[in-house]
This record gives sequence, C-alpha cells and structure tokens, in this order.
Amino acid sequence: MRLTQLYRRIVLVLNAGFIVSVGLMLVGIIVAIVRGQTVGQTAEPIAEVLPAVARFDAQGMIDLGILVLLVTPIAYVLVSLVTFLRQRDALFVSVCLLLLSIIAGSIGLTLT
Amino acid sequence: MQVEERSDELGELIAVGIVAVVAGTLGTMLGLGGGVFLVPILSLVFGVQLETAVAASAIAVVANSASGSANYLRARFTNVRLAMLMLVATTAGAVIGGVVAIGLPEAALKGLFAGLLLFVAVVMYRRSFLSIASSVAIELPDDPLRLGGRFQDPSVNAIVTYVPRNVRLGMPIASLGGVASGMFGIGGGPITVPLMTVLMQMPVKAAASTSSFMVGLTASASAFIYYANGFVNPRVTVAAVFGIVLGARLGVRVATRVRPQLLVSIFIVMLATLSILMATDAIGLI
Repeated sequence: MRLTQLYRRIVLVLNAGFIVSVGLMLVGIIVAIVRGQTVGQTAEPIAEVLPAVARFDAQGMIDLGILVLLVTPIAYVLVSLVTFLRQRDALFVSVCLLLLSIIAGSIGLTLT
Repeated sequence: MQVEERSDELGELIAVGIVAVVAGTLGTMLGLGGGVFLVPILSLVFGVQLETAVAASAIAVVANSASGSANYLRARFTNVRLAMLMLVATTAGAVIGGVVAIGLPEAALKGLFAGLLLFVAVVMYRRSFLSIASSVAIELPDDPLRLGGRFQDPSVNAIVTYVPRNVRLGMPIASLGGVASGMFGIGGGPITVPLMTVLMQMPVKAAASTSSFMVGLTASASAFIYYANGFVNPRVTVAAVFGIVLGARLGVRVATRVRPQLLVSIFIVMLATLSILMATDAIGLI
C-alpha cells in the first residue's frame, strides 16, 4: 500500500534531515573550539552560508545546520506530493502545492 | 581578551543548554513542548531579545518534531493526510504570526506572551479536572476526504479506528494555533491537541502524534522570517536545539514515573508566575 510507503519515506527524510543538521552543528561547535573561532550573535544571510562552509568557518557550519533543519519538513511535503501525484489524488496534490506555495512565500520574504 | 570572550561564549552555550533541557523535560511532561518555558526564561533570565528567544525556540521545535515523530509515524499513530490538510491552516497562520511579531514593539510582544502563558495555565487547570472527550464514536461518520485513521493501540491492545469530525470548523482554529506558533515559537501544540481531541473527537494518541508531526513545518515556516530579519542567534539556537531534544527524551521517561496531578498543579503555578513576570517586564519597557 502506497500510504505505508509514504510513512516510511517521511521517517527517512526526518531522520536524515535531523542527523545531517545536528551533525553540522556539532562539527561547527568543535571547529569553533579547536580553531578558536568566534560564533557571532546573528546567523549569516542565506547567500553567505555556503561560502562560509567552504572556508571551513564554524559559524557557517552551524548556520547551515540550522537551515538544513528548517528545510527538512519541506522535504516531507515534497515526498508526499510525489506520492499523491502517483495516486492521482488531485485534492491532496493541491493541498501539498498550496503548502509549498505558503512556504515559498515565507522563504521569499527571507530573500527579499 | 579573546580567550575570555570564548569562555563567555561557551558558558552561555552551556547555561542555555541546561535551561533548555529542563524546559524540554517539563514541556514534554505536560504535552506543551519546551518553548512555553524556554522563551520566557531566555528573555527574563538571560536578557535575550524576545524575538531571538522565539526564533531559537521555533527552530528547537522543528528539531524536536523531526527527531520525535519517527516512532509515532512507524506506529501509524500520526495521520499524515489530516496533518497535510491542517498544515495549510497552521503554516499560513505561522507566517502571519511571524510577520506580526517582528512588526510589534517588544513590550507589546511580551505583554501578549504573558497573556498566552496565562491562557495555557488556565487550559491546564481546566484540563486537569475535565476528562478529554476522546471516546471514539461507535458509528463513524462519512469520510469523503479519506481523513480517517486506524492504528494498533498497545495500551488497550486493540485496533482503533476513527474519522475526525468538524474538520471545516477545526481549520480556522488550527490557523490560530499557527499564529501563536509564529508569534511565540511554541509550536502550536497547546491549541491543536485540544482542538483535535475535543472538537474533532480524535483519540488522544492520534491527536498528540499528528500535532507533534505538524509543529515541525509550522515552526519552520515562521523561523525563515526570523532568520531573514536577523533574529536567529546561532549560539542560543544550537543550545536550545540540543537542550530541547534531550529534554523531550527525558520528559517522556520521567512522565511515566511521577504523579501527574501534583506535577500539573506545580506547573500551573510556574506558568502563572512566568506570565506575571513577563507582564511586569513588558510594563517596564513601556
């Protein structure tokens, strides 16, 4: 039954997102301690997070960890959308699209 | 000088982490989530700006939902279809709540938070004397949207089947839970769980699990707004995330070993006290 598959996939997405996010935060803290880097009081703007990670910057890793956490629930909406599309469940496809557009609006506010 | 600053940083991380563990434990034992305690303590004790405390709590709520929902999903307590539908209301509410919170002066936000804490204390007081209407109707209503759920309840060793009622009426109320989540970083569980058990007549396990699943996306929607406006403090947030997640796990274990009635009474007093302190603080800012 596809709904069982959906539940399994959501568990996978949640676990993966949580582990990656917490892992990044932990690495960030360790890097800050080992390399003596200061973590600021404000997260970097989204566009500057990846370049900071590339520099092996502690705050960049912590910020990326936070962002991975925030997109994890969005990933399960995408997984659900795919399942409902396969089931040709028009109502729940619309529900997922509506949800994604609300989140896109919220992220849009973030980027402007 | 730099060493001193770094030890301050580490000290702040550890102190906030410990408070978050305690807040997470208490919040989970009460079924409220840790934010209800964490946000006022960060603001009152650590002097963290309220919006920053709310953002840290909202992000910790996302982490807690991601780490805590898996078991409920596996047991099929969580009703994903219903969650998706209700999430439309709660996430829209959360975005509005986040935008409003950022636009409000801090004193007003603190005053509103004081009101919220008092509201939660009153709900807890009433709930401790009223049994939640969680009985499942023998005759199930029609379910054209296939929102019904079915799970094996190990506590009664039976398969529980239900169909949520009054969904249309529940959606606008759920959006209020979203607004509260967006404004105060508390996840919205204190509103959505009673909504699902009382108005929608869902079994408590299904309601609590579905709400725990929903709060992640709801909190995430508003957290982006706080992030964009510079209210995410990585130090406070990391400590809150680790503390709340650890505290929630402890809370589940401790809750089964203590007398609930006594605890609820103590917590009601704590919530009321935090509400008074928050209101006093808000007046001081005017």
